[in-house]
Amino acid sequence: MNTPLIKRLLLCILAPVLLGNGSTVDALEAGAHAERLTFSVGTPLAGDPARQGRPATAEHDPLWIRCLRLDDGTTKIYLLTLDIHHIPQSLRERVVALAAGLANKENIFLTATHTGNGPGSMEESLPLRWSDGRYNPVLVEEIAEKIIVSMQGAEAVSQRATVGYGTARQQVLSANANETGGPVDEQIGVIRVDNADGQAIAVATNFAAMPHMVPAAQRYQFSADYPGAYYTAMEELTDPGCKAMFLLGAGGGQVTANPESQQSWAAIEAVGRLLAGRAKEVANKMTFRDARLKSYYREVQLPSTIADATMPSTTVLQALEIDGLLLVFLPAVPDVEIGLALRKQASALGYQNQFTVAAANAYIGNIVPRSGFASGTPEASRHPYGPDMADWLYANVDAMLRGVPVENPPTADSTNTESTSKSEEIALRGDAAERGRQRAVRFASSMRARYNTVVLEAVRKGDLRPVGGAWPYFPPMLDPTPLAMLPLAAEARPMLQRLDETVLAEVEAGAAAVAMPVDAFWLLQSVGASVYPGDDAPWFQSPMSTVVAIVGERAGADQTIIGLNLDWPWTDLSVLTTVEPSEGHVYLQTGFDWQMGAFVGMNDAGVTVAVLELDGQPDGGAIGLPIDFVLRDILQRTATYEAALEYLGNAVQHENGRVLLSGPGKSGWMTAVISLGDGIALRNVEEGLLFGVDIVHEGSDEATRERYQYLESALGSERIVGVEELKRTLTDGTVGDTERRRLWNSQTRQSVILLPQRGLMSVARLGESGMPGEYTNHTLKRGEVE
Amino acid sequence: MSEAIRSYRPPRGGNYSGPGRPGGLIRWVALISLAVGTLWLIWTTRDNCPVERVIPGNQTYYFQARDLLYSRQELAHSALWETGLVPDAYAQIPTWMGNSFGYPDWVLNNLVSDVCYVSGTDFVAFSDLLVVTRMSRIGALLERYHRFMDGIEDEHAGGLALRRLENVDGYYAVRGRTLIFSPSRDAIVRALTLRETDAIETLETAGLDGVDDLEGRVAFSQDEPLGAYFEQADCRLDLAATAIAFSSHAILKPEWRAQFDALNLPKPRGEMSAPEHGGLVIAGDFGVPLARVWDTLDQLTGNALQEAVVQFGPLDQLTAAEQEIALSALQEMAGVLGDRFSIRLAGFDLDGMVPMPVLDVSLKPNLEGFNMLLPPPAPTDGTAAPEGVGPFVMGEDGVTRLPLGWGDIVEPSGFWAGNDFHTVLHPYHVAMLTTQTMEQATVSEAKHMFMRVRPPELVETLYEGAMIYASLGMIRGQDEASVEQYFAEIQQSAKRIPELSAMLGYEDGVLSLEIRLALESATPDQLAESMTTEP
Repeated sequence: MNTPLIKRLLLCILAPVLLGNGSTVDALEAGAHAERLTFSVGTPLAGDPARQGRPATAEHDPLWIRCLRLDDGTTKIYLLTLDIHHIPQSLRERVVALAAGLANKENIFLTATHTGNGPGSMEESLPLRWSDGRYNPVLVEEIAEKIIVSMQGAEAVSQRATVGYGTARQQVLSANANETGGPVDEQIGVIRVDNADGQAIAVATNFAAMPHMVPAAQRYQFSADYPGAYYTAMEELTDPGCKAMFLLGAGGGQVTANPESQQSWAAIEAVGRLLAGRAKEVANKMTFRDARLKSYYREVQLPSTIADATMPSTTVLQALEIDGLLLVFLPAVPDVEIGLALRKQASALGYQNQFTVAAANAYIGNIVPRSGFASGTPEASRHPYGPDMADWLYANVDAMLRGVPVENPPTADSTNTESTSKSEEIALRGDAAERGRQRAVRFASSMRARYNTVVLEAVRKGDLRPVGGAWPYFPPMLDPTPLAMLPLAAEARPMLQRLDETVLAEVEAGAAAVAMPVDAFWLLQSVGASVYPGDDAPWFQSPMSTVVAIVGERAGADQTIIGLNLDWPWTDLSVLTTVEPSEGHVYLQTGFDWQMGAFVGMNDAGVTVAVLELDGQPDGGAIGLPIDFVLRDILQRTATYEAALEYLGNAVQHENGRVLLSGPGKSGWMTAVISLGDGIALRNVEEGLLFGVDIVHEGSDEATRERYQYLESALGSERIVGVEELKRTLTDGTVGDTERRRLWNSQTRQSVILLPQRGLMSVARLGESGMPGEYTNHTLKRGEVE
Repeated sequence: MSEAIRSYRPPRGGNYSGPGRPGGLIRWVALISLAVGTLWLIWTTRDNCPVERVIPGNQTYYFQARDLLYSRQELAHSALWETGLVPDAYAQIPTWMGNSFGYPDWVLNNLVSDVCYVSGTDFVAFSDLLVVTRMSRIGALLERYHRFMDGIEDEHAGGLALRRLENVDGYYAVRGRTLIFSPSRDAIVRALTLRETDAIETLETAGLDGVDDLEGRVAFSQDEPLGAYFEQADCRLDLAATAIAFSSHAILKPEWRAQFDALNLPKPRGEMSAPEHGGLVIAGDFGVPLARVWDTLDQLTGNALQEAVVQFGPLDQLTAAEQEIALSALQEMAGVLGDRFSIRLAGFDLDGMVPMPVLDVSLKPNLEGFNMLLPPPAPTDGTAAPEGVGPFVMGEDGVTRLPLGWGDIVEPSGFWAGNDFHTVLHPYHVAMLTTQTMEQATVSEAKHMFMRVRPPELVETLYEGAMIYASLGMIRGQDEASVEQYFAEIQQSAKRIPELSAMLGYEDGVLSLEIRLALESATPDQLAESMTTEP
């Protein structure tokens, strides 16, 4: 015999032992069990708020608990799928307690198929009861006990096994729900577990499309939706006794397609059948092995939200490694973009395949990517966190897999020296996020204070409430704030989409700097100027600014002079801000310390804007677009009167209010008072005085009439109105004029003179005596911002 | 016979009483002195001033208190003071009642007879309260030696002798064996100088018949809150350590009487059926249709009831014309609701989508009219989606549900239990009302309306409901800890009153009210604690 050959054979035989440091390799064992879930008619159905908690009237197809037990000798895991909408925290806690002798919590992977026609009644949380129906702790106990039975059943039939996994792509079974041509996760992921005879014990399929296909007419029937049809089809395709399992992928914003153009239950059956067929094809081609298992488990602190009182503070992330396959289990339904990103993340970590499993172990709602935060989609409305939640998820999953602590983003230093004076001048430069951070750091306490005393107080008093529903009938002894904040935030978010694309970044950075949830920060910015806790009638029924524009020869060499007094009922700090953005025009804006938007402003192209009248947030009305942000966008983005007017017209729809716009136009310098509403209405003059309110033709309150009459009497007879004369007129008033009958009255905070053609803004702010201080001049020139 | 001389001496210590002897004179003097002294005692403690003589006839309230001293210790230790029902202003009463002011009980018992008469004109602040009582002879004699007692000073008002009680900041005077006390000097002087024609004629004419522990009569003036409705009211109060009974008969002013008379209420049946279980029960048995009672109450309250209905829930979404139609339909429905009702708080549905009280409203409607107006809807087949706004019955449960557009959040539901039609806020509450909790009790000597409160049960129900909202920070102005503390305090008070019941009736211009409180006896520790504060 050839000696080298014998040596090689011996080496081959001994190699595994030598390379394995002498350890032995245990054989993989697996067992699967399916336990029927039965519910009495009358049990509420979960997942569809349109049902308003109404109970089921019938069962269309059976619901199941399906359990796969895998044990590689070192790690023993139980992977469970339930045909329910989500896993309530109370259910997981109960299962972990009951399973004490079977498995530890780190190795129990409890997932829901997210069917929209499964039983509800398992959520103790009050807000979740609105889509889950009345709470029934008995039901939680019953299901927990059945889960244990299922785990025991899987253990009882455990046998020597091998595992295979693989993926396929499809283009016909799913589609993006919110955007034609939007991202779709085409992957079908399959895990097949065979016994020693090569017969399938279980086939688990991971697929990202919402199982919400049951037709509206049958919405009160129990159904597993298309996963139920998939079970039937897969078990027909595989060996007898094989248990089909369904693991929902990151299916937020991804719905099932209807490849066979079927209707009603036939469409559901078709999707299940086609999915099973494709999965079986994958299962038939895969290779099997004695796979090594590794489970990951981490209890994580959740980010703060606008409604922390009703949200869990911690949750569970899990992952399961089967050789080169990584399954990531999330306590939410993430949008498809997040599933795709997690797959890339896993690939970067060296995994061959990755499945995201949604609705696992708990339920904190949907998670949308940053791009979807303000989208107004149904998924976004169920996303209670900030726009960076997906980043938070990536970071925590990565840290869990690496076994390291998550790196928290550095918190901005919001300690600052709040001014004790009544006015402030600041300069902001850089990109939107940097500008947002700079402003928020400077005025952190003012922003928090205004949120608490104006926004939250308005919600508490019922002056600011979500649209529709039973909110008007909230019992007076109860404070609606804990329940109302999330729906209000969902109403306010889409306004971001109607503003410049950089606003979200600025808001996000500002929120981080003041340690407020983004929703809270944006609610402050979007409604902070238009709510008045208590009786808002006296304030919002009267214009907030008194304005005159001197146009043409009567302005002398300046051609256009705009004079304005800004009234404001609160004693907020007046702030003059010089903004030098990294993109767009340099501009000056005035407003108040808590505010990012502009009440008055002028850019380096001469475009000048001012808010003359704000529309108060109507009781129970929808949150409107914040005009002060629109004006700020105009300052940053436009260089001509026409461009500014077009921007205003596009942005503002159905919002009421009145603004002044001035700037270089195609046919010379243009100045107009613009009334907003359903469309915009212009009023201008070619020569002479243009008042903010036409007291002859427009209705106005008595005090406004008096202010404008005085303005007209003081300036009307002058052939040429000079700046100094205008300053004298605007600062005429008295400290005690609480009825705002004088131009400078008890509520006047700023007097502003704008010379747009010269790029000059003069501002006199409220002095210590209650009367205006000296006018100070400010000019605009890029690169000279201090 | 012996001739020896005998010398006789009166026995040592013996009395010499024979006539013509010095010892007999002394005995006679002593006897006469005793007789004179007795006569003087009788004369000086004679009852020569009836209590009626010092009670003004124009007082607005008269009360009498029986066995005040006898029962004062018992009352001082009554659980009533621990219930929280007594306003803070009266918090010192148990201390005051338990106080002997430094005198032995036998002295006080002789100073205050078994009946005290209390009267005055100020029924709000009791500033001119006048207490009149009759002393025993011994009491009257003891009072003569008041100078030897601490805290009593002589004071004169013109020729009137008054005594000032330093410890209780009041005055008293004595006429014969009648003792007159008041915190007001002027009130005492007025009582002492009262002309006979200005005093009350008899105790009975003032409504003081001396039967109950505390009884009296109040004539209301127009500027008092109750004066707008009532001319006068008779009140009786029986106090005991474990029970309190209060009754009042108030005569309505003519304008209000006319409105009540329009109801044509028959006399109460005498017995009333009311739910046996529940922390709060309100029942009415009027003998006239509830719709008529509703209309009358609406008129009495200036249409406040109708406005409350219009402002409720979905109705305020309707136009004025639609509201009128809806109200008309409601009135038509009310016409068949019968003449009796009961409302009870049977618990709190903590697990509801909106946790809410379990309110069971029961009616005994006119069956024929009810079924004609509100025919029971045909049961759904169990698979049809329960949508829409019309009433429906699901499956075989026989519960009629009225969707309000709020799904399973709130869905008023009705069902029959015998001849009684019950309504609840949610169909699930039907299951919560078990057969046992539906039992009825018979209220004897009932009037037109009955109310029963079981404070421990009621407070527990409210506590459970409040805590679920408090845990979310939804109780205005309170956090979870403060709500918990608040209920911990009132639970202690509530335990002192196992049950409170009240009955209200109307007959011939008189509103009758009876209130009964069952009190839990105070524990020895609580008794000791209640006695620690001395004035």
